[in-house]
Amino acid sequence: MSDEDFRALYARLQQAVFSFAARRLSPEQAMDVVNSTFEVVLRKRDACPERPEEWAPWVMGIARNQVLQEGQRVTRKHHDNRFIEDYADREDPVNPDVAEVVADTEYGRWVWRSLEPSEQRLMTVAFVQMLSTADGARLMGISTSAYTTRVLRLRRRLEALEAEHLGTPILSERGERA
Amino acid sequence: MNETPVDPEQELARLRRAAEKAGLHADVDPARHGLAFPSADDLLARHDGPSEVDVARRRRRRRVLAAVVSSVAAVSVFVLGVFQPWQPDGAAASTVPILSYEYASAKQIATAPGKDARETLRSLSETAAEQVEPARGGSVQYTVSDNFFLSATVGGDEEPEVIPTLLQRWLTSDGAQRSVEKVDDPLDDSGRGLSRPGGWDSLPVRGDVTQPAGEIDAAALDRLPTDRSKLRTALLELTGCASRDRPDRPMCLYVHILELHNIYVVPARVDAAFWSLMAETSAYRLLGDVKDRAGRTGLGISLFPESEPSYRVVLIVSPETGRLLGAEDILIKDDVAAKITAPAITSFTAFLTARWVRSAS
Repeated sequence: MSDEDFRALYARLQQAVFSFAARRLSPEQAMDVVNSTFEVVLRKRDACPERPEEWAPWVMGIARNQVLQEGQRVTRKHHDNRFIEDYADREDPVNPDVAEVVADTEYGRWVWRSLEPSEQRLMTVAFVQMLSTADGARLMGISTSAYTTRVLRLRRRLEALEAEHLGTPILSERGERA
Repeated sequence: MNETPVDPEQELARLRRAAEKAGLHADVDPARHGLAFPSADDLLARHDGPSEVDVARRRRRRRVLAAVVSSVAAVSVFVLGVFQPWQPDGAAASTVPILSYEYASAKQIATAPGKDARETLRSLSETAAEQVEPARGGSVQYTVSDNFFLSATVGGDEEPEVIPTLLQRWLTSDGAQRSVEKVDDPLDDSGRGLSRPGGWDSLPVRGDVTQPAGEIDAAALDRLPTDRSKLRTALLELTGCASRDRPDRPMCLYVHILELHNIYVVPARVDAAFWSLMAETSAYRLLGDVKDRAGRTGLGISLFPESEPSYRVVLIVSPETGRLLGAEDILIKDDVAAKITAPAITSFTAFLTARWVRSAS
């Protein structure tokens, strides 16, 4: 990858990486992730896909690892007697104040806090505009069909939350009461 | 009841629309949190080896270093406008551990952005301004600093080496300055362990020279106005950092606060004015708590200098007194010519003592 390619890749994906990380970590940590992700990109530049449309899944895979490492680093700081391996099966770290970051309105923050951690993780991946269904599924380590099913359920969950907020019963797409 | 077949990409788009409708943002704006993306060129510069221009500049600076560090006589070159103490190219990378800060571990020191430092700088300015200056015990300004400077030859075969240097300086009212250079003990594994007051008396002396009277304006800081607003203006004029259009003004302030501490017993109100000036820009980043090389509690305030893209510089300030404790220069881009792998401490200075005494001995 040439310097010019890197500039194009960075311009295209810096915002996506930051937003991705900011849904799991503090904004400062998210910026750390941006820096470390693109450091890795430069270190592995020879392995960068040639086709620009393949950059996003490659870079977001690196970003996800950086988010995990950053979360482990913070956790280790507060649990000095444990080892990285102890956290191998941990889910992504979650910044407890992330709702303040991902939404401007009280309603948006309430929606985010109402989501289960697994739903928040899915939302984080699904929000990356440049990731296709197949890319997102790969990033989450599940099949394309499972990913699509979860996407559909999550959308319905958002609709249900909206209905709950408005105090109205939700109807299914066929007009039936859910 | 069977589900209607869905198009995966359409379903994904519908979810995104539903989320936006619910008030969730697709993009989180770093500017809202006082953060900014580094430029692609900065990332490339940190990653790649130095450019020809960088190498040439470094070669030039090493000549300055040779003139400054290799002889005790050169120590007395610490004169406003003649020598910028940040310039020496610092200690060998592999032998000086990088300090870990609250918001920047040693491993991430080259890239960790830290936090907006403006509020902290304002607070430090207030703290420093509240300090009561101790009574002067004489007319001689006595300062002690501990420093590590790199000795390296561009393109040479030898490895960079560490030169531990403790500097005792006495500046008399006639502008004469006596400088005693001593070889300090090695640092411990954590990169700390500098001599404490009294501990340097028995260190071996490498040189002892006195610069003639009239070379330094010993009363320069005494003549600064006491009014805080006027003091800020006067400091900007004294340091030459006055113009807002000056290229890399943040680095100018960084260089000159170090320069003043290398020469004078700096009044707390001058530190307060510097922090106040620095609080006017978002260029400085807060790295948070740190134990400095002498084991003191400090706050790291860092800068990626526009004029020195291979470096990150850090000031360490006492949160208790608002006084400057020291500074570190960190190479964040490999210096191939000097065989230094980034990130690496290339120099640091810890200010250990500053007081007025009766004589230069």
